[in-house]
Amino acid sequence: MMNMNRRRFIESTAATAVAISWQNPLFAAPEADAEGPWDLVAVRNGGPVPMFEAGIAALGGMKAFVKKGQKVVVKPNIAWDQPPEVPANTNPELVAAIVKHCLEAGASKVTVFDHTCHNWERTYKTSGIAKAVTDAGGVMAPANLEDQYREVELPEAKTLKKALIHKEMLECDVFINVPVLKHHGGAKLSLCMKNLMGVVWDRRFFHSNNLDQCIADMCFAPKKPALNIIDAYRILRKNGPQGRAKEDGELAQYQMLGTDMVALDAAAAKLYGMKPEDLGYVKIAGEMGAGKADLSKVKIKRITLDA
Amino acid sequence: MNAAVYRRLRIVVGAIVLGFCALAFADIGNWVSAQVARAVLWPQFAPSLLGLLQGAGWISAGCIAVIVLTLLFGRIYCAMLCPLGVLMDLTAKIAGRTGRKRKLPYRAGKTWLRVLAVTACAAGLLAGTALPLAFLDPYSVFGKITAATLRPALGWINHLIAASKLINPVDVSPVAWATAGVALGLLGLVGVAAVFRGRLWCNTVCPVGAVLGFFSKHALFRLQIADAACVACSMCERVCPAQCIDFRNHKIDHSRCVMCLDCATSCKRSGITLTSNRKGKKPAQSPDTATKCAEPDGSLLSPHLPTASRRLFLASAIAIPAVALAEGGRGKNKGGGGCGEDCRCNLNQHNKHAVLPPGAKSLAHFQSHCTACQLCVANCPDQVLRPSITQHGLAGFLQPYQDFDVSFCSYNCSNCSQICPTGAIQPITVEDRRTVRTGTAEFFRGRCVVKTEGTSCGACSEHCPTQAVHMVPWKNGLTIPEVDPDLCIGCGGCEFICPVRPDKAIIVNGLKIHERAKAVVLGQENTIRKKEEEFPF
Repeated sequence: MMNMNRRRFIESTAATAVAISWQNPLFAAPEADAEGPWDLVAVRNGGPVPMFEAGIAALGGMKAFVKKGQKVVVKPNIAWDQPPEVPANTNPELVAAIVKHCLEAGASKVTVFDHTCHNWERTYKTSGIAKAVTDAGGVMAPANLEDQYREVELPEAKTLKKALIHKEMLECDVFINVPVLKHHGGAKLSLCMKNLMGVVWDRRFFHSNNLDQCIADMCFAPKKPALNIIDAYRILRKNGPQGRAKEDGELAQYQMLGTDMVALDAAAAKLYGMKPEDLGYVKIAGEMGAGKADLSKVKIKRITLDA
Repeated sequence: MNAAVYRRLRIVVGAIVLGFCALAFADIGNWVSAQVARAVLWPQFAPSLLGLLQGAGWISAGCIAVIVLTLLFGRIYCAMLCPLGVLMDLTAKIAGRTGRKRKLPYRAGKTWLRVLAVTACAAGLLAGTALPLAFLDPYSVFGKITAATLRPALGWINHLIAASKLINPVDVSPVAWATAGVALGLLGLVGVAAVFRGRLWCNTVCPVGAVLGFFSKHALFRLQIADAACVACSMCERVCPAQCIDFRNHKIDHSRCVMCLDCATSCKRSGITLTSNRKGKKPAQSPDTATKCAEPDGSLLSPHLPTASRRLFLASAIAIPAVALAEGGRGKNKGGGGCGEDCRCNLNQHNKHAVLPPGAKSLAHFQSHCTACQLCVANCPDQVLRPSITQHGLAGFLQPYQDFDVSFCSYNCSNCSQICPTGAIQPITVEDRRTVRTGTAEFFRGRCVVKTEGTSCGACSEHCPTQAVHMVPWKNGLTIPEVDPDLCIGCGGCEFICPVRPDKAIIVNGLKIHERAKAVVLGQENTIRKKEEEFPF
């Protein structure tokens, strides 16, 4: 329990620090927006890295989320053995840029993992993420064995009352969630909340116990994402979530950043051409109070880069 | 060549062969590519012969090279190229070191047993099963032993070390207990035989030993005991692991000699030498011994050919109905033929036809060529290939099948077909693999959670690489799976991930004859969103 207390202390200190630096212009990074803070920053018309740099600057820079010496976990979507052009996985350049920013902000270690659907070594490699992360100074962690997971309780959840969650996520100081916007045969779209299925060992439980409810329940996992970044540089328009070929992808050149997963998922649904309420898990999560499903109540910063 | 130099060569080559063969089967980190493994296993006689019989060309010419080598110098294959033979020598050596001094007297050859072994293998192949070969061919036996013992042991050690985060944990298949049991039994048998009777296995039940023994009888260079040098010390007879030297009569049974040359090294008077067959008879041979030798020394196979074919006939007469029986035992799964939409027929993941590896062509082709060596099982990156118990019928015991409870077959891999040394799985490219249909998915709407629970799922469609399983609109804004059989390749992704229990809602039923799936022509470009479009929120 001593350990838990210390961790809680660090967490709350970090959270306070984030809150102070965010609210107080004195602590904010120089690029930070005077009109902020924003619930959601959306950037368009650029490469994945320039869009990220513009977006994170509007949120006060990575220093607003990562403090010196903290252990960071970046969780992209690396589910399928597909190259970046078939956007079944998060863009590797974006993941590398996030890793770099975390290290520059003073992170002691940046770990990247996903519980892949295909063979993990091949998937890490084909996605381009393994090389991008290693080159940027991050560490790829395996998530292929059950003993890398630990059972935790989700008391606020409705259906997913307990789950085996990857230890890297449970033991980190800062958790950054980096999904890719893609079509999904069952959940309609795979976004922030859906991406969190990749930190859980038993995914079949989700599918057999009301998928939308379980996805929404992940908002109440013990470690909440400090930052979510939806990669919509390329989006998977059909045959998702695995995709078959490049033609399934659309070069959309968008990116959305923020802390509220529900708001981000709602915005992404609109970008894809759906209504937020079409997504069962967005509706449920909104009703459960996990975030704002109504975009009219979300303070959005819109940035268009000059292409 | 000096006998001592040869002996050293034999040990070095043997160690290399043993090491590489063991690596091919116990390579948990997938360091060895299929091509390297095939090259290492090129001289393995039985798989190479099976490949050659299918017209596999130079890639399977290893057996011809071995026969030529045998016609020149005798059973060099048995001496240093056979991994099981080398393993036996090693076992005997270790046993000798730890106190068990072996003394092996001459024993007459059991020719009938050797003929029977070859006949059983041939009859099995003619009857359409490689089962006898699977348990007698030394390479295949070695494979089963290594894959079921050394490999899991290395996997376990890897996981122990990985717990301390020094190395990454590898994916290992769950231990196949039946195979492990069989393998340990075989290892025990081979080991005990090696410790107490040297190369007993090689000169009784080994079909490769029998065939090569036939050729080694007529080898150009053979070991001969020089009568003049012999002082009848009996050293050669005692050290011979094949028990084929009769020192009293100065006679060596060349069909059983495994060319270890322990005899030549042990002879203090250098009385045993490799002598050309063509240059007349033995040096200083007495006519008396020559006549004595001739009779029991009769050619191994040729005089027995009539017997062999009679035995072959008898064996096939027994084998064919047995195989038919084994085949018939599992054809009962397609019970309810004409079921409606909410099909209630009892096809489940356990009573369906097992799915063969892609490239196996058909059950008949596969069963008559697979010696269940477990090389593909050991080298399947997705661990979907598992040794069967009765999934392919009794005639297919330990031959691999795709176990969708464990994993599913990758769309981007054809490793098993590239690595198979017998051609039971014909080599296909990854591109080819994507249109080979090994089975067909059958969807049971009545079991699907979308229908039973009224909640969304789509796990099966998620895992379908061709989108043969795709989601179509259903009630209350939900989507439900639908199968396009033309696109299905039988990879098993859908069955693997289906969360429904006890019987899954989507089952891949194996095809007895593989088919071609419809190839989908797919665009190579992303579509591009107009940059002028404004933020939609």
